[in-house]
Amino acid sequence: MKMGNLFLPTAVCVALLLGWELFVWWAKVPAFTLPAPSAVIESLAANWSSLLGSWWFTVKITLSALWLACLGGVLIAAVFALSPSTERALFPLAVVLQVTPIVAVAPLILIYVESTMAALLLCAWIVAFFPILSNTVIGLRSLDKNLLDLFRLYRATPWQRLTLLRAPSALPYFLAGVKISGGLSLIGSVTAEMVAGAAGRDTGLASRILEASFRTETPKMFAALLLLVATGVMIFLILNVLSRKLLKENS
Amino acid sequence: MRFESGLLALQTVSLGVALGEFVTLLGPSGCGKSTVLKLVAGLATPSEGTVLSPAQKDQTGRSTAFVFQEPTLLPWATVFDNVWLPLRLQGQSRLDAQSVIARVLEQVGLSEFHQSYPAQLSGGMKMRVSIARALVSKPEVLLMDEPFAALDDITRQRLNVDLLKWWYGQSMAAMFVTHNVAEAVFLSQRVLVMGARPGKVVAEVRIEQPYPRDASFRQTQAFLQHCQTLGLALDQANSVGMKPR
Repeated sequence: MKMGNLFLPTAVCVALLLGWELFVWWAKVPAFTLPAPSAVIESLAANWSSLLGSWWFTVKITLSALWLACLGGVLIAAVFALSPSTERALFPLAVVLQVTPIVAVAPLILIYVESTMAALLLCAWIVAFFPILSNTVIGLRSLDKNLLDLFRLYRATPWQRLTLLRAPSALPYFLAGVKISGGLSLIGSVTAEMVAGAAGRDTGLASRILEASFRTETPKMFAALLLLVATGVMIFLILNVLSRKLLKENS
Repeated sequence: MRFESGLLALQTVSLGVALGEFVTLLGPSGCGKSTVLKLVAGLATPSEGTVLSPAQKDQTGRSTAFVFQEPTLLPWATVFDNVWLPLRLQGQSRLDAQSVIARVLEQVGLSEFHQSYPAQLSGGMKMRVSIARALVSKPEVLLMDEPFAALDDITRQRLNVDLLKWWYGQSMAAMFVTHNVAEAVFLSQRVLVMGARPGKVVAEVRIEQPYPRDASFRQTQAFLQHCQTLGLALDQANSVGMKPR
């Protein structure tokens, strides 16, 4: 992005924050109703160590879920692409997993999976893997028929066909799926933790938000939220850069 | 040759092409010209009858090359890597193939573009890459399925002249499919005129003009004469093809 393109969104952001700060100050809104941005920053600094630990927990779950979603999505997509009958048999299951609200399933998963961490991971994975799966399936399918003929003409082995033709032509589709799943895995891990309502030290930002809400520590809720937003934006940006780099190298 | 739908695509096509010969299949769309090429390439199998072509008994995939109507390049690979593909599929490393690829790219006039990607090239240049890829494995049979149909006329005529240069003296059989009469006359020794529904060869026209031919051939009386003869044969084939069965 060019510097000129960054100016407008930054200006809007600053104006909004400034307006918010001035409004709270002018209307004398109490902090437990709506804390001013300065109060949020203050709370962030005051609770830094506990928030940082929770942030790291959430990041761990999110990134693990995303990584497993990539792995699982691609593997299942490859199986589907190789065997259409398997796809017919199992795709409805994948759709069921995708359309069922994770908030509704999470309590069940928490019953059946003993380790809370594993349960959270599973929830986040369920939310994240579908876009990768469906995109990669489309990518593996959308092959140029003539290129396939060309590979046949030159007696390409199945392995050559996979590595030199199918994988590279599916890559842009896969990356588009990963970009969607990046945000979804964060949503999944936070949602699942909200449902789990876990307490104690080994918990994520969702637990901090719940805790703070029970104690009406609204500034701390905003501080945790701020960290979540920042994490989501970071994941989005990193995946964008990564995908642009991979696609540039590849086309 | 029947399609799965039971549609009779080709009927009693009997043709032979000698090594070093340039034969063109000329006909309206839907007459099965492309199907003939696919049969020769071994990319389709006849429902009846036999096809004897190098591709049938070739295990290495070196005997036959195919140029499609679209350039059909790998969009993620450079010009060099695209031309490398046939040799790569046969296990040749980039280093081993380098000198051959460089020679072919020079032949088609794309030496400077070996690091470019297909998206950066014009339609005519992409087709040159596609032909370079076909030539790099030194095939016995070069099959071309309306390769220049999507190009503008100036580019097409220039590529026709160049194509003859690349083919001439290579002891390579060329089979070319087109629906353009002038192109068929300019390129070929023999033109097989096809009719549609079901597809079959209805006439054979010889173009008695020695190679090498260059652009000046198009200005000769003989060229116009051939075009006229061929156009007439095509019209007849067409009206036969349109008759209800």
